[in-house]
Amino acid sequence: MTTVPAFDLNNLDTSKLSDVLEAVAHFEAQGTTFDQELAVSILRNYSCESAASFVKLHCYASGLQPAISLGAYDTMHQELLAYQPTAMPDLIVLTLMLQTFDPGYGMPGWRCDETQVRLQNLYEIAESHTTSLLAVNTFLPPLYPATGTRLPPDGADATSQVLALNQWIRQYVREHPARFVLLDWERYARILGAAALDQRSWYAFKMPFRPGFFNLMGADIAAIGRALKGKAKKCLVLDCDNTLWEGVVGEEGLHGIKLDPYEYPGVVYYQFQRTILHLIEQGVMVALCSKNNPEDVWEVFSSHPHCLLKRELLVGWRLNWQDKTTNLRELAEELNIGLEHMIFVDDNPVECAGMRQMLPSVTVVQVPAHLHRLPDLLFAQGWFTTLAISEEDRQRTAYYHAETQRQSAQAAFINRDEFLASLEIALDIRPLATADVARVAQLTQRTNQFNLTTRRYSEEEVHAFLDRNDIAVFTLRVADRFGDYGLTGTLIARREGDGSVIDSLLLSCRILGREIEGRFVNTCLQQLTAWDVSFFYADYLPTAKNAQVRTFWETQGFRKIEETPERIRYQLPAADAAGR
Amino acid sequence: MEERIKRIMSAVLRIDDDAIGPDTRAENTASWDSLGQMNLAVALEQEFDIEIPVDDIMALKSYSVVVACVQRLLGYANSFHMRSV
Repeated sequence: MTTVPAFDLNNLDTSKLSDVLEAVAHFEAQGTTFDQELAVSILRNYSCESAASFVKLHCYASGLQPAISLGAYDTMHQELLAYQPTAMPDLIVLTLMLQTFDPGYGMPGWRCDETQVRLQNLYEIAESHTTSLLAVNTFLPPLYPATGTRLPPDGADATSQVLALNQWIRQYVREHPARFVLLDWERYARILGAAALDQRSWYAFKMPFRPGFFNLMGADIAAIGRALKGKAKKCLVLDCDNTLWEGVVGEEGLHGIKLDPYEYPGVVYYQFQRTILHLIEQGVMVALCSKNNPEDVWEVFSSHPHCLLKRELLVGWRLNWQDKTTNLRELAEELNIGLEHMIFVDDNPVECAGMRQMLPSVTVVQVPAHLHRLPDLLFAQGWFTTLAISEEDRQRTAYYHAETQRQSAQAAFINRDEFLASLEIALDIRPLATADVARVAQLTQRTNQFNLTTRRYSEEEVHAFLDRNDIAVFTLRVADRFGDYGLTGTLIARREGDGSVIDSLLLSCRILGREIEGRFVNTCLQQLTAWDVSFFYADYLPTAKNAQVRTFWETQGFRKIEETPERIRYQLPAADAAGR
Repeated sequence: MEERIKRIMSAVLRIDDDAIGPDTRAENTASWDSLGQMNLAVALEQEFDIEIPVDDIMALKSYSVVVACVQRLLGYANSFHMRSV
């Protein structure tokens, strides 16, 4: 085995097969690199062996340890029927070429109706025989349709038929958000054009795509994996001058900076701000970290005719001449999120290099030299890809804005108890309702810090808890006088013999530090005494992120009964809980 | 050019560049199976910006053949370019 030279993932051309294979070999030679595994099965009806390498590379670049299995050629049905409940991958990629799936495709008069029925049948088998998330693809219409520029009145031309089938696939995925995600081949083909397809190796080796296509597919699969494993980015931190507009506002003034949508380069920055609005709409938190006088920046935000970003859309800011790494650490603490959930955008190569060196877990994006790439850059990487978007995501910016008001209120109180009382915190604790299943699953997938066991559950699994009388799930909603935090906590308990085991307890970081956690646990334990058990058992499973709750059960009166490096188990007599 | 070919073969077939030479053939290299062969062709195409015909891909089974193939395709591309100028 050759020793693979060290290389920089940031500067790797991820569409070049030899570089990708070399990088994957480098990681594989190291053995296990990352704690968190992403298990992906690729079921397919064409040759896509090298796709696995691209998926692996993007997993490594995302801090995920890939475990990829590739099904045999055109055996999707058999493989789906053979899955064992104990060995479900996180994600099954059901990737199909229309030419193999329906040999009639391409013949004169072909219509998609029958293909659609067969496709639906396959999707339903996948849905009912597995519990994994399922990724399916759209199909590529012919490059040179037989009917040329003419559209037959009955819509029987192959392009119209393939597009109708794609429309149906999109609709199916849309209607099954808890189980299905889309790999949009049409989009990959639009990006790559002629560099997407390889007719020669399709005819000769059943391998239809060039490396660039597998690269885009691998990147999407890794983005889905990050969303599943709680690694999607949550916060975008922006520099101002030459990032949100061209020019230095402190020198060139409000009307000197360039942000005009009708002129270059202003239009590029205007479009970039539009990208940011889209991210805010999807629940991404946006903050500023810039070396400016605050008044200058706020003047642009409030008075520039083309500035789309507004102060009330931000969750925080550091407009000062302090070191940016210090600023970012402070912002992470203030927002109660991990640095690995942050993306930092700056035009200054020195700031970017400093950030990469000092805070390697922050993703750093430098404004590209080819400025026109800026507006799409954040979307293109799929950093913020989430699974089904919940109502809470959309309201998150509102919560965090209220949070900064809360913190200013805190400064006015000397006594912490007084402060907490003044917040008028109201808890709403209930058994799980069907409408909350998606949010509870999302919380289990995303919460890392206040999470005692870090068990991740899919929407499907949470839904199944509803029908179990030996499992109880409680949800917590919190509101105070500054705003509504929404559904921000859950506790899952399992009945086992004479005891009740707390399977999961997790709270969103938004509500920590308000003595809410104890009240929530107490109320749940009171409810659980209805099971008439003698003991409550609770575990702490340590991870790299949840050290802050290491002694949580002790603070709640539980007694440690067993300790190994992987688990600390606690016990509390039910009588003690009832009396509290 | 041979150095670039060796580098590509090393990355794709996971063998040491220094060990690659006229004696390196598919039959004595475990990783040089049909998938390795396909990957090698695609990687060479990207590296040299050439298109390898199917029959040549099927014949890519030794280092000597690989070098000859790339040389021929590059030469052809160059002379074609000269003629079209």
